[in-house]
Amino acid sequence: MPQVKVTIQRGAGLHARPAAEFVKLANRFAAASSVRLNGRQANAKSILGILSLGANRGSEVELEVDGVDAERAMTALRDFLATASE
Amino acid sequence: MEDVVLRGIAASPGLVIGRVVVIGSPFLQVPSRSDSDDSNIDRWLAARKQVSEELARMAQDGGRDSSSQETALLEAHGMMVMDPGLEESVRKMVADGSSAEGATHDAIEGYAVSMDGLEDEYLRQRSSDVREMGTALLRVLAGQTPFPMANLVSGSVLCAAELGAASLLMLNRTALGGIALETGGPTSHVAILARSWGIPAVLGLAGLLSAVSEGDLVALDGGRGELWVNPAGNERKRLESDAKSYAREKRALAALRDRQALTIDGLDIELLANIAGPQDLEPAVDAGADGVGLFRTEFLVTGRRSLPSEQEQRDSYRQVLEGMKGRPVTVRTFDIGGDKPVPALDLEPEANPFLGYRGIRIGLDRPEILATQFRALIAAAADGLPLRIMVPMVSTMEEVRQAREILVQARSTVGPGSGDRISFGVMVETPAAALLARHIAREVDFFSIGTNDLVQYTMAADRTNDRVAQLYQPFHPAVLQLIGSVSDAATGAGISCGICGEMAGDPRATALLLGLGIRELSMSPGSIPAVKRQIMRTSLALAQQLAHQALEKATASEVNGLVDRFLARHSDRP
Repeated sequence: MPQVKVTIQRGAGLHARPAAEFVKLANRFAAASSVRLNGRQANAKSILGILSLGANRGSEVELEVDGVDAERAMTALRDFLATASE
Repeated sequence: MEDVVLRGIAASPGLVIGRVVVIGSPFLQVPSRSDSDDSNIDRWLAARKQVSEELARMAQDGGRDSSSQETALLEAHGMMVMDPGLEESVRKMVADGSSAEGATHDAIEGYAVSMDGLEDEYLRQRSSDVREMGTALLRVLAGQTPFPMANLVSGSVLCAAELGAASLLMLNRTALGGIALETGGPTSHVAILARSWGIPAVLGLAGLLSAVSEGDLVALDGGRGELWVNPAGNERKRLESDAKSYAREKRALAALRDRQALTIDGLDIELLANIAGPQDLEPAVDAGADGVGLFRTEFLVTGRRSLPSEQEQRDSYRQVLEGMKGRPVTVRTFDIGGDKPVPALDLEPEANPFLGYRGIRIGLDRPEILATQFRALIAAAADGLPLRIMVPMVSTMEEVRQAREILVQARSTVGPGSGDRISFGVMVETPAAALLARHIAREVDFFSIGTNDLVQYTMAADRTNDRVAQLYQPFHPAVLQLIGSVSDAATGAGISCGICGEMAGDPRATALLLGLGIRELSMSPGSIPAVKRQIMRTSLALAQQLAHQALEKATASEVNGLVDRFLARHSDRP
């Protein structure tokens, strides 16, 4: 299954608002997706899981996506994290 | 009868007198194990549906008077309630015999506790949002409404043990006169919302609910962090007249927001903001600050077990530089000492922390800390954003030179040509630095006078010590002479000299400081409008006369008298 390392550039990191947007984006795809940071893994479709990771801007996270639309999901999620907002 | 005054954290300024409305404790008894039958998961799903619908309804209704930020907040809360991970945990616990209530409590605490352990302060605070959603679910399971109801009439002062952001958003805001809570701090959602609505709030009031009852008359002073219970007689009269003049003042100052800070004779004064982290950017920009004159960086280290990495620091600095959109940002390197808890530095308690191992003294003793901070700052300003760096607690020329040398080395490490445009300055806050200003001025790009410490060290008086606090006199002629000579030294060397202590935000000091040659004042954003108004009422020529007279005085009370007469003569505009 597709895996990729991304350094977060968005906002101040996965704080409340960007985290909510990220989770909404993950939910647009059928594929299961997860984010791993410092050995801990969170379901990308769970805002509680994502917030508990404590991912800041500059954190390097590992994205993992699995499912029919995995490739599209991976591109969308990776671009979201790697792009500075505004 | 003795007046009862409670003191807490001043979270949002303003003064209101109104009747108390109490919201009871949101904590509910949680049955840990109940008659485990199949209905538990159905009850939970029904409760979740009700909470989620209530949040969605509010987010939609919010269209009228909510900002997009508030709608986003309610939406994020809704996502927490509908979280697939939460549902999975609850299902598992219920299958293992937990009640719907017990499973809700344990699953929510699982997430909240892991957020409590995060290093990032903002994310750490989100644990209260998660707990609020847990409480909403438990309330519905107990047959109550998801969020507490309060019968607010116009100008009510809401009192509660604690209050979540969603609960606050559910209340009738137009009737809300003020907020008083037993818990919470200045960066909580409640504080942020209260400030953005302009409603006074005092948080962290210990013993609040035993001191007030429904219907009591209270005066809430969000600027001082005070709550007066059933004030009577003269005190009541004073508070009522204060509340009235506060409301009048607020209208007058709001009108000045977009005006330039020009003296009568056309001199442009820079009004800058003091901030303690990226979360203070919004108030600074809202107040119309010309830039940041003091960015305190201690939030990156206080309370932490490990020092922040260069990258983490760079990101915070970058956020502030970008947030100020090209306006200058002055960063003070870590100003820590034995009085602040920094587990990462393992500082020993000292008999005299304010005369001890602190500020640049730590930075030069452990240069890797200072070098890391310099590199992070240089990298944050890599594309030429206007950055000024200053070091605190300087008392010798050697310290200035050594700090500068570490900065030069940091520049060459980051890359050739990087950080060329960054200015390097010092805080002038010890009498030694003030008296040496003429020499120091030749080797730095700017001065910033930290009046809080300069007054304390000049007068040898700790203002938090009640027995000597009256000796802490910012208008003492000795202090004014030092400020004047530092300012003169800066002018002589062609460098700028600002003030970033509390004197900068005191409108009574404005004319004196202008007269002493100061052209940059940095203060907490809330003070900017009142200082701006004072500048607009003052001419440079009159301010210089005032300063000249003040320097001739022998006592602070004579200077105070002089200032009072000056202000009385020039209080008619605008």
